[in-house]
Amino acid sequence: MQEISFRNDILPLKDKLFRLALRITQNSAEAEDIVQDTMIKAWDKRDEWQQLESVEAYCLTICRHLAIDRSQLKAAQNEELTEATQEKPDASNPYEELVHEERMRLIHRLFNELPEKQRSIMQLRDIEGKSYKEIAEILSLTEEQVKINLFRARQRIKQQYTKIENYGL
Amino acid sequence: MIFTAGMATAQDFVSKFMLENKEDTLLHYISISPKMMEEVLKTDAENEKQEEMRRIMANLKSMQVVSSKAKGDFYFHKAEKMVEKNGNRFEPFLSFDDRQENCRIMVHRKKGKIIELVMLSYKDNRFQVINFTGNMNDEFIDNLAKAMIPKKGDEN
Amino acid sequence: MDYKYIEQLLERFWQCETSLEEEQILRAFFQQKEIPAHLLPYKDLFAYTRTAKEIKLGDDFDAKITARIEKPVVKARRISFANRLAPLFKAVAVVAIILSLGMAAQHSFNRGYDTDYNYDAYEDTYTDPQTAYGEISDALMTVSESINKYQEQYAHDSVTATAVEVTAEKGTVTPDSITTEE
Repeated sequence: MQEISFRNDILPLKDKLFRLALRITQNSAEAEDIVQDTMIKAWDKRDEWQQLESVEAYCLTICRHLAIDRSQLKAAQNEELTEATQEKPDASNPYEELVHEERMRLIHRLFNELPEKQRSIMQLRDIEGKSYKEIAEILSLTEEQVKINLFRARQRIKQQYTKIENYGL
Repeated sequence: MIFTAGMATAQDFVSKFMLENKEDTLLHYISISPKMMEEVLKTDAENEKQEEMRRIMANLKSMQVVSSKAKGDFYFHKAEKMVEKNGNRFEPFLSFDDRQENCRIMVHRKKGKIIELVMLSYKDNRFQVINFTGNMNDEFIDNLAKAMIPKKGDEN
Repeated sequence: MDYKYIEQLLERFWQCETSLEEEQILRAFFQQKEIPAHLLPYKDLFAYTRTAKEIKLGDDFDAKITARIEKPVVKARRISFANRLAPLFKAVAVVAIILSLGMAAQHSFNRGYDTDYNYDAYEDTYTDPQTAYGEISDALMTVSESINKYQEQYAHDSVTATAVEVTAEKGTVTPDSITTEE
């Protein structure tokens, strides 16, 4: 079996981990912290790497848990993680630089208003191009549950998007 | 945070377990402090069921839960060993093993009161420890058991 | 050009029936310049997934993380925690660490037996009482279910649980307290 190394196998996951953490926390400073903590945790477990089926899935799982924990800690009173945060994204959010067009902004908002589970699944499928099997492993769900959540997420975005497209904001 | 543990204070089961497994990334940890427990009791009950729940919760001071979705048997045995090593403190309350599930409930009594209740379970490769502290007694456990029994005649 | 194939793919995409390869075809299609008007609204949806994948960490990340990993004392959190304490408390903290390690080594935590639990060390996972309520009530239900399962399946005849036998020896509880409903 091929030897797993931090530099070749863990470090290159950084941007993928960052995008997932950012999708959950919607704050880039937090997301970067989470990626660091994820890698430290993975590093501390280096004795077990060889036994893992997928180091990538393992890191994504840790990353998601850390991001959820942080979001919950940060969440203001009576504001559930699954509820849409109405706050504006922070100024340093890299999305801000990229997503200039109004429609892109709208899609971005609709995406981020999804419940965490749907959001993470959609991130992993539609942005990172992961298989249902991999996503199921990362989220500890069955493939069927992944599909159901993804279905709800895509339907919601489609409906909201078409509604706004047709009738305006 | 565990190192802030004072020298004269006792550690509950989960704090102890987490101290021994603090770098373990598979474990998911939840903690409710006595302060939060008070806040929870201040919230309004929306129905009778919640009212009943709150009456049960009023006996609790804190809750900690550790769970893992993988390597369940490994953690379960680890936790069991910890119970054995502290046998003079925990008193077995119930235990069963069957094809679906292994379960242990232990209580820690002081002056006739149950001040800590710990439940270990292993099911579908998942592991969970639920740890309550508070001012409980056998009536509490009785009420807790009844909470899940559907009331006869209630189901119309 | 016939767009039937794309329309079908798109329909299956919304139903979550497309494979990763087919989703790639859709993404490639919507990247083209010429898109028929009726499909145009979806262009940005697919464009968004591409843009969102361009998000990257800053260049200094590698240096930061390698610095943290190359220091074997990774317990950064605990160190910074100690740093925040006044020097006097630092000494106390060190004693506490030694003691708790000692306790861990001995595998016994009976020494704190008579005192209250160390609630100051508890950090709340939730800030919202409603969420906390849900978690506590789930946990209570789980315990309740186990007690019931035990009583229904394992304690039929010997109505009282093993626990009662144990505690009865110690004379601390009355057996009545955990008898079943029967």
